[in-house]
Amino acid sequence: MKSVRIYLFMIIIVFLFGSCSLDRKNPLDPHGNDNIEVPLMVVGLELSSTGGVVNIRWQRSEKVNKYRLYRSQSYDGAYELIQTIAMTGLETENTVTAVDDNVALQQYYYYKVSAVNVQGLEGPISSYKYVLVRM
Amino acid sequence: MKKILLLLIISFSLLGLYARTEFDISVFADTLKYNWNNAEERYQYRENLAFKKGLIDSYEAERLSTTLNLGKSAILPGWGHFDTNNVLRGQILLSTEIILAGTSFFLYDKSVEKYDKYKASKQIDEINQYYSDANRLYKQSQLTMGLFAAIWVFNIYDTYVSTNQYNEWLWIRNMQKELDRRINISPNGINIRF
Repeated sequence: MKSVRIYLFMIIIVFLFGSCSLDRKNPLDPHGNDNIEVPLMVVGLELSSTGGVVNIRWQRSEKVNKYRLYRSQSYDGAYELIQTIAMTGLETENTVTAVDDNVALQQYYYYKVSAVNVQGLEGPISSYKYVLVRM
Repeated sequence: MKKILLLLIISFSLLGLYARTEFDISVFADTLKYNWNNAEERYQYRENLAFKKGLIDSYEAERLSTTLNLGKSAILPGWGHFDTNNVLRGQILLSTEIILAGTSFFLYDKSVEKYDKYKASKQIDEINQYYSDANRLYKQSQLTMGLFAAIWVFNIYDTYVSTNQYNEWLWIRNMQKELDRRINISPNGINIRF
């Protein structure tokens, strides 16, 4: 009976220790913070290439402070931030455009875009699109 | 003159011998007081008393203090078991505690690393991913620490039990050793058992 109590006590100790969780201390973490609004994932990403540059276009969203454009040379490689496109809030067009001229001819490039809100929180990064650079 | 003085001294000395009567111990002591009916029984009683005293003395000299053993095990799990001849159990407890403490520290360190990245992160996927990783590692670390604490408690309990068992065993062993003695020297003589 004494041994049973000891084992029971041991199990309680293990569960007491294991039930602790870390605090969410990141001020941009939307969990438990209603003031944070997560930007939506960018949609409508389109790429085209003429004249040795890449033209990138996507749908504009409301309440976005800036967009971040990422690029990689393989779809599963490391995506590097190449441009930050700031929004003034006065835009009337439904699309946002960017040009990437730092590219090599006959080379494939992969692009992703994300939106950043006023608080500085970057939303989910879009799925990739790729393009072959042409003259 | 000297001869006369010498004769006087001898005469007085002889007077003492003449005046002496036989000393009877029974006048002063009750020999039946301790249930001794004769000298043989008295010797047996003394022998028995000496046997018990020897047992208690050797037991007191060799017995382990429960408090001291508990203290040892509290400082270093398994230490108390080494003194009670439970070396294997002590080794298992000690190595388990070392492994658990090391694992818990390692996981906690990894958790802190991820948590720092979480706090510095500004991208929602990274925030979620780093928090999830940090929290998972933290919980694993705490579970390991909980297991460490539970085994520590068991170690204390088991030290108490094994110390008492050791002391019981010590008493029985000493008694058996005393009984198994082939040559026994006592006031009654020398006994040799075959």
